[in-house]
Amino acid sequence: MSAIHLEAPVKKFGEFTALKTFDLKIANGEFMALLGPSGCGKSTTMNMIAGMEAPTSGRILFGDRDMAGVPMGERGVGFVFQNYALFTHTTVRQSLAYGLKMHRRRRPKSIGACERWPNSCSSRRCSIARRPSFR
Amino acid sequence: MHRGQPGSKPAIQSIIVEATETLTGQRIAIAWLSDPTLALVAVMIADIWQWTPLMLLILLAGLVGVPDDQIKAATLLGANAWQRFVTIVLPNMKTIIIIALAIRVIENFKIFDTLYIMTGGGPGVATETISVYIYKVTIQDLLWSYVAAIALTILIVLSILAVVAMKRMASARDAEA
Repeated sequence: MSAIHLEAPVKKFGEFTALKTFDLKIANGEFMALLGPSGCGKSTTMNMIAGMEAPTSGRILFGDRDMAGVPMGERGVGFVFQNYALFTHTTVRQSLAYGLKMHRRRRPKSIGACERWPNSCSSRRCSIARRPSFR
Repeated sequence: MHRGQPGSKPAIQSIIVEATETLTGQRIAIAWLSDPTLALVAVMIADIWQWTPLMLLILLAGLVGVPDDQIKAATLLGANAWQRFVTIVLPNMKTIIIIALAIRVIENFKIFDTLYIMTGGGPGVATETISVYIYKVTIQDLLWSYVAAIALTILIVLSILAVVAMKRMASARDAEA
């Protein structure tokens, strides 16, 4: 069983087709890279997996579950934005604890050490670490 | 205007009276500018009416400047609309809110024209602000040194407020840089 299964998703913005139909299965633990020229639909695919865009047709499955209508915050997807989208007004600790706080989880003690501003450390690592690992 | 001159109400009051009479069929005349409490309310309404558009524009500019990807990131992390507003939108608008507040506070210290036209500071001293008081003391009592001292004090207080606001702005900007 695939962890993520894109079942012929199509995305249209008005008359413009941003993503033509294709099938993609990503197994649990598999490392997958989407490569292609600008405008071929890589970001649209990622946005649809994360729930930022809904497919015009087709399905996105996490395991057996159809993710149609499941809000972004409940998908458990970590997402590193192109410009990292770090919360510049919070410290790294507050950024990392953000997801836990939103889900009313207890903050792990290990986060307590990162009392620095995001601009003083690696934006990429900070952005990756922000996704809380609970489900 | 209407003070001490029966029958010559300000145009806006006449419009309100006429409008309510047309709508309800009854002549409801509220003494907006004669009653001390209502006069203050009337002045406040006029001031809010006058300044809300500018404040809206300033705050809207700040709202448009909130990074969209930060909001998306917060949504991905499970924040609902209220949590996004409190934890992402408001902190990102901190600088612009301080600017808007500073403008409003400084403007309130020197509010004069609206009050002078509407109530002249009255009835009694119900709507007398510091600028109207300064005007009265200057014109009526001719206490030049006294009003100069008041004006200087206001200048110092506003300068301190401006410096505090600018420092808060600078610290907010440094944190984001």
